[in-house]
Amino acid sequence: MPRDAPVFSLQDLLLTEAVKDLEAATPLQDDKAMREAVATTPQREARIVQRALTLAADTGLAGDAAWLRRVLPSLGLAVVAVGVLLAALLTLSLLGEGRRINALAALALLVLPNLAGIVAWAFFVVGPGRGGAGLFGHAAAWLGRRRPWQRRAARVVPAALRLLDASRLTPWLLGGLNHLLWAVAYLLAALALVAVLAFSAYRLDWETTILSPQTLRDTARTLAWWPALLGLPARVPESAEAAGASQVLGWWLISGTLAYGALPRLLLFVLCAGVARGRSAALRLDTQDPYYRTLINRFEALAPTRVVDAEHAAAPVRRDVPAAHGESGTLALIGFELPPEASLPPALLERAAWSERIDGRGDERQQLLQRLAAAPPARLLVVCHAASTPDRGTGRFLDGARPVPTALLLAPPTLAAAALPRWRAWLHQAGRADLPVFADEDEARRWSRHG
Amino acid sequence: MAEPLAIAVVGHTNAGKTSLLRTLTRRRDFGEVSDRPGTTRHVESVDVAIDGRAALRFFDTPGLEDPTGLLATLGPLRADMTPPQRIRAFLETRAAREDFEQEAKVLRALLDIDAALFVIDCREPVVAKFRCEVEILASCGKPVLPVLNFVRDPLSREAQWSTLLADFALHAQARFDAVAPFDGGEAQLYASLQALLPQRQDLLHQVAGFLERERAERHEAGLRLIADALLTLAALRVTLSREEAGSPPHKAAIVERFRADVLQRARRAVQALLDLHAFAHDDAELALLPWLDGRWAADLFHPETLRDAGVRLGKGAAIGAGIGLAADVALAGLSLGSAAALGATIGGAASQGFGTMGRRVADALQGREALSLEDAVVMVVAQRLLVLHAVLCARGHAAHGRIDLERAALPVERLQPLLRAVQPARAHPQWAEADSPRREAAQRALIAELRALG
Repeated sequence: MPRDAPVFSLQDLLLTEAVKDLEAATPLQDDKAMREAVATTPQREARIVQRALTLAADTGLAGDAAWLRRVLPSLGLAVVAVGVLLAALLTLSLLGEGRRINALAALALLVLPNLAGIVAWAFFVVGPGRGGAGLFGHAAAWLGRRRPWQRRAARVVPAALRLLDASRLTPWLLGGLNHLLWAVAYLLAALALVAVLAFSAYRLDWETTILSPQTLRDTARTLAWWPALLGLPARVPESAEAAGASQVLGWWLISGTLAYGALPRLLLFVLCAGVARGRSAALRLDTQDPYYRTLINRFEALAPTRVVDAEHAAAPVRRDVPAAHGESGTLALIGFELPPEASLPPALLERAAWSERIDGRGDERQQLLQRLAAAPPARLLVVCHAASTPDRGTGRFLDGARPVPTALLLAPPTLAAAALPRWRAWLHQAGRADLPVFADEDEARRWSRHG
Repeated sequence: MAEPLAIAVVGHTNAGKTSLLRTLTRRRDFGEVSDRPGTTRHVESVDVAIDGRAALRFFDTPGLEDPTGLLATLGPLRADMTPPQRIRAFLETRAAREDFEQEAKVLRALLDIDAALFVIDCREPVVAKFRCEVEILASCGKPVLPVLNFVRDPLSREAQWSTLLADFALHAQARFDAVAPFDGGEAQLYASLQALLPQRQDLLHQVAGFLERERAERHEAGLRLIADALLTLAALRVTLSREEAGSPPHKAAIVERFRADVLQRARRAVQALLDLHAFAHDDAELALLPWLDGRWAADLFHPETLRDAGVRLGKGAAIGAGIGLAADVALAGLSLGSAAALGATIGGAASQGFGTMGRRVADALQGREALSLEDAVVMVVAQRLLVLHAVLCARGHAAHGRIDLERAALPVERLQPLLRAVQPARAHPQWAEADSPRREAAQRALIAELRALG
């Protein structure tokens, strides 16, 4: 089941990215921000964003972002202004000098650059779509160095552009602005044409040297198909010299400007706006980013662990037991919970009055303790498996045997030396520090003789 | 998501219960771990959360220390009792508050949970106390999944343990090394739990999927970090003026500063990798890695290291000295493009874009020299970061002991494709400081190469 990663607003993610940039140089002091984030939400991406929002407020980044939002509408105004300028240029170049307009050339002038622009944008969308942001990023950095008030831009704009790039919003946002600009330009140009052609007498026709007038008429007819489909007046006269041809061609030109110029751009603007809106509603935090992953780790380390059943440690009990007096010089050898392949040391076996191996079953233990009590040897050597963990079960057995002077021998010898400190520490901790423990058989043999 | 799935981690003392939990929760700081028996004496819970919601709640319990005595105290099963009723009855007794207080905690926890992970140290001989232990745990009426720990230890008695567990009807078993988890071990553990808890299958499936995604994301983030560090190092460049290049003490000071800068950046990359994998910078065992202590600084610019890397990369033994300055051992690892080496540099620069060449020609004409890192150094750093990343990806958060570097070693000659992928950085000294769309594109290409290395 795919994970439903939480979605964040562009504004929040922008601040998160800006804080990341700020921390790239030196991490910020974030104890308070971490605490607040943990208190606000259990969701980790949301915690990262929350932490960034707190830090952004503390470092003034939030103010910078707010400034950016205030500045952006003026960008829209600038686009409209450029659109008006373009419209003026378009109309001027269409009308040309004199009172004659080559209608076909005029429409070509309008349509071809427009188509080229749309194709270029399409490549931008299909391609990596990162060029624009780089340019703007450089510009922002450059501006930031120039004017103090524009430092604010330098702190948030690179993060914004990176975010737009990463979420593949750049081509749609830049495209949207671009299409809006041209849509405005073509609409205004069409209006200007209406105004000019309504109140001044122009002669519209087509002319040719090497083509037949028929071809030009057919071309004009073909081009009229689309505006006519939209219900715009786009009739084409039989001949450019016919009576009223200029009037008909004037409407044909205006309709062409709207149908081939303004309309595609308007439609594309709506598409871009829709896509940009859809994408910005699905913005997620990039959890593959090392910076965010590290923050996730830090949040996880803060997750509390709870002690459910607390310790009530009892102090180790001092076990004073009357010593048993065994037959002098006798040694009993016991293999306690040894693995099947382990054997009791032969030299000690020879010396022992009796020996026994037990697996540790309750009844076995009991019988053995009874035997020790009934006929105590002078000394008892318990051979334990060195690699095993000493536990309370072992301890209880040793305590049961205690009336007889007892020592431990760890086996096999290959593992004994390494395990010795651990067994010693355990004996000490459990209040049995007086029990000797050996890793070496010779030492154990000496103890069995002399103590 | 409903209530978290409650899982008790039980087992004999010192079998590795807390270690298992550290590894499963990726928290090095959880509980207390040592080779002393009875390190954990209380029941402590820790959650595994998916998207902020607790999915699993693990309970770390004290070890069972005297199962033989405990079973004797529980007494034989009376005809009018079920096994869990016998446990409940025992919990009311005085023995449960005194002699067997620690065991009582385990049993109390067991009666209250959805399932238990029964951690077994496979190195232990299968003796009577363990049979008692299995009998007690199996009689609590909860699904129990035995987790065979230390299966890869030479002393492991896995087969004997498997037989014993099967004898007590514990047929589903998981092999899991808490200290050195192997690939897919965690997934297998959760798969076994799913088989044991069919009614919570969905949740466990989600957990397994989540952990797998996390693993993949960490891996990818590590590669990003490494790619970033390599591009930065390859982009580093210091330009020496004619006067600085002409004065040996000046030059030596600049070379020294440059090296310090390189080491500083490489160290930052290492620390970032440790952070990414949630290991402490001063992790005592990790510090045994040759490049985490002070020695690696000397090692990185050691002519021997670089000559070796140079030969392996097919660059010839001349590497480690620098173009046109073959005998200058003091410069080991750095190349100094100067007027004398113009012929050689143009060839190299042409493959890196003409911006570089223009700059180099201009530098040469004005007697300036450009100090940059040699390929061999960048590749040695690449090799070490990749090995560290691989080690950390696989290392359990309960690991102790030295890392087996031989096993993790990655031969330098396999890094040949990386060498090509870092070259674009050579032409862009500004990439050492700032991100740009072109740097990002180069980084993506480099990450693709890193991924291909596997």
